[in-house]
Amino acid sequence: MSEQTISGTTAEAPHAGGGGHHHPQPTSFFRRYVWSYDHKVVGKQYLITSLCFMLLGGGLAMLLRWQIAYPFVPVPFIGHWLKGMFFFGNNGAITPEGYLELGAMHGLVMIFFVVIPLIVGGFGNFLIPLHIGAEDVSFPMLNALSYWLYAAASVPMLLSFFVDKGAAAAGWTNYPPLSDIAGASPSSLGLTLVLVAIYLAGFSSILGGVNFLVTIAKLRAPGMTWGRLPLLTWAQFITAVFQCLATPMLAAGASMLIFDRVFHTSFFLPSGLMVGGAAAANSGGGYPLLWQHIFWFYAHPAVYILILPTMGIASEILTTFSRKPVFGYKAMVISLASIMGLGFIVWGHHMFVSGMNPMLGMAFMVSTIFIALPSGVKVFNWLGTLWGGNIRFDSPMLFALGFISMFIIGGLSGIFMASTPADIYLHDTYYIIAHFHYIVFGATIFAVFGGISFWFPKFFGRMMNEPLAKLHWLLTLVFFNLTFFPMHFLGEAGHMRRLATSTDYEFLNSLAGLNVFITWSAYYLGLSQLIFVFNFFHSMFYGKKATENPWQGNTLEWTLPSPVPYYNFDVPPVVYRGPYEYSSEEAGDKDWISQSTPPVPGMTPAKH
Amino acid sequence: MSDEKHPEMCWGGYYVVYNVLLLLTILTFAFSYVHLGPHAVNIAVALVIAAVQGSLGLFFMMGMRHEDRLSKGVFLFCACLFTIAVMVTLTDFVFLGTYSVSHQVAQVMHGLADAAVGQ
Amino acid sequence: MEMTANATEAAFHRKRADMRRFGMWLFLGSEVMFFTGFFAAYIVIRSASAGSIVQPLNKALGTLNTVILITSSFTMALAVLASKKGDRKGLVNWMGLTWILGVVFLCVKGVEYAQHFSEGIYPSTDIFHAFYFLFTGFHALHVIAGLVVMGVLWFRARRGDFNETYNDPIEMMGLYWHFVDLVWIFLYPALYLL
Repeated sequence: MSEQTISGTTAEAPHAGGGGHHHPQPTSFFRRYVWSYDHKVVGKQYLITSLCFMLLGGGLAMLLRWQIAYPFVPVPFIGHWLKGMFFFGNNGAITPEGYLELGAMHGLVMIFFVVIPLIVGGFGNFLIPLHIGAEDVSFPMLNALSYWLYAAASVPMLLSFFVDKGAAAAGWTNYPPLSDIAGASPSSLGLTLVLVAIYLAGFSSILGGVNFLVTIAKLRAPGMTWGRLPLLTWAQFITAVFQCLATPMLAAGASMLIFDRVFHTSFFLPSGLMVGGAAAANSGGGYPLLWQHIFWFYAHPAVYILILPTMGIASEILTTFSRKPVFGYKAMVISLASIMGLGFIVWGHHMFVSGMNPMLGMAFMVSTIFIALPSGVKVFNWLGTLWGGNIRFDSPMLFALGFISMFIIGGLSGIFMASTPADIYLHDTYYIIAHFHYIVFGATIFAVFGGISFWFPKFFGRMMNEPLAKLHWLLTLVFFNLTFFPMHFLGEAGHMRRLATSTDYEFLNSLAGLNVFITWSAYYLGLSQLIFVFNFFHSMFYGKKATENPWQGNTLEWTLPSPVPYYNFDVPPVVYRGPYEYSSEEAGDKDWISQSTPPVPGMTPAKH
Repeated sequence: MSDEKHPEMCWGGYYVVYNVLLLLTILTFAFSYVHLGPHAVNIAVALVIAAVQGSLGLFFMMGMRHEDRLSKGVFLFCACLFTIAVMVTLTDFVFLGTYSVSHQVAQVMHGLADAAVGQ
Repeated sequence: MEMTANATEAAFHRKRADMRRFGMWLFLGSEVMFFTGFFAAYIVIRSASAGSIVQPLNKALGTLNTVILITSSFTMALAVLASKKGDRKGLVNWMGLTWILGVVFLCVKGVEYAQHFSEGIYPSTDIFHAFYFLFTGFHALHVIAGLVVMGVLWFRARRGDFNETYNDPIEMMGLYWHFVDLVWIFLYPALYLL
């Protein structure tokens, strides 16, 4: 066997999952769009499904705001049609139980069915193989399975709205004992169904995480070293660690909670519990606080699942539109990794007022404040990337700038809550709501909008309508801040969250006007999103045809035609340089140079 | 990847590990009938034996010793997370009902002294 | 040319086996974290209510099951060894034996459960039995899942699907089965002896 034959075969050798055996693209509709193994189709499935759930979650929030601004006033139109159903009383107003249900389900839908599938399932699936130069993820069938598990999880979740007493109503955190005793909580079967839904969604998330970790670790194209990975892929890698190793904790907790509800055990119920004036039938012997530990051991890392990938998206957009290398690539990666390390040891800061050992409270306070360091490094590096750049204000860039601004506000308010003395006052008030909406909506969803318009050419082969996208950005930015910034004032004034009847408290009466203002801002915020919905679907079919590299990016996906063909790369790419060598001398008269461009003779390559 | 570099474990190797595992099982079973002073000592002995068995299974039966650094890292990280989850949660609960740190420390010391005198 | 095709095929299987093994380790890592949740809860509740829980289980049956599972782990290791040598008969026999041992384990577990139920002991009886049924129930689910997959692999092995170059499904099965065994090694002292 000559040397030539060997190299000849290795050139054709497989380099991706299932690889080597190039099957033609399936022709049947079912295998092409429903049970598809193509990572790009799975990514789009995630993207579109989760955007649809965002409409549901947003709708729930709109109803929620109505009750806060106009307590027990019949909801116009909707309340009239749905009298006595779902969350509505017989007069069409939202009932107190309905209010709790709206609040819990808004949180659960947004976290488990919108943000995680959107940024990890959608962007991760679509972009990771393109970024590392692979033809698919490592386990394509598992990938399809993980999407369909997520879709299956939505069935019990949606079903729970229709059962007697409605869906989960014990907050998205499902704290026992309220969530634990079927008879004591406002919802009975609904909450169990929602727990089953979380279980399935969590399993889908674990499978996705395993898949991404193996893909990034094993399927990188030749030359794609760890130091040349785009930051989005780095962020997805770290996120996948969280998904893989933190989510099982939630499954364990949910199993125990389901045992408590179905088999009447008492993992989370103390001895001698009284329910409705009588001793509870459960044997007792458990601890309600135990749930909080187990839940937050998952749910705090989940907070990072919600933000890290969008930090990656923002890094990609900022560097591309500043036409400058990202400032401090290594520092960015190290800060991501340290967020991962610290992220596992800060969960107790959600429990400062729970009755947890105060000694632990202090330890958690210190570790939490430490997280400000890597976050701060990232913010400064983004600003450093902008500094002196040749900035282009296209819509992705506007959203990325929105991301940084909102992340700074949300991050600063987080420092107040990290310190126990301040948190004891602020806990469970609207200050918390303001804080995490600044992070999850202000930062994450802004980056998602930016990311969608940035990679729309790769997703659908067309450009989004730029003026509409800019209008959407402007209105969202304005109404988002009008909605959530005043909530800081509500919280400082002591306005509790999860409160259906703020009118019952005299000291909250002076805040009624502010609540009405917030509600109307929220409605305009919701309406502004219709621009995006229109732009998304209209551009998908009628947008301007996109060129290969409309934003002049360096990473591998921009070397492919738009939309990306079935087998991504005709010839397996070879990577010669880092992802952000903008304005490099090697590029000649261009200011960008693709990662797969070989070194130019006579030029010293940039250090990457 | 590892298949070429390391000699595969042979029939005899597995047989030795198997016998050691069985022996340790009998040992832990026997120790459960022996009163080793405070109950905590019995617990510690049983857990140490289980940990030895677990490592044997992990490194020899499952062949973790042949894996690359990445796979080893996964298990090391899991072990760290396990320790963190258990230790931190435990810290919250073993001192339940007491609120002064010095008081808690004093109690632990008393407990240890009692155990020592008891023996 | 025949040699080249085989070499490509072997390289492809090696690469895929490598990916699958790393994926399996990650999946087992997530399984460790799943049981971590239970163990953390168990350790906390046992420590915080020290002395109030008296060991009520049948030690003999527990020990018997431990021995059965360790033996099945051994036979599984031999099955993997046979598959790597391309020894089809050895693979089929050892894996068949492993499968039978798994079923015997479940039967013993079933006898224990039947005893508990006949004595009127259910998960809701007290906090110890809640943990007992939680742990052993989820462990048994893992055993059942393993047996289902192993059954499929057994038929594939008998058909001759596996050889020296392509045997990673058997290897993955082995990793999973050893893991299930390891979990039991910790459950046994935690539930039956302490």
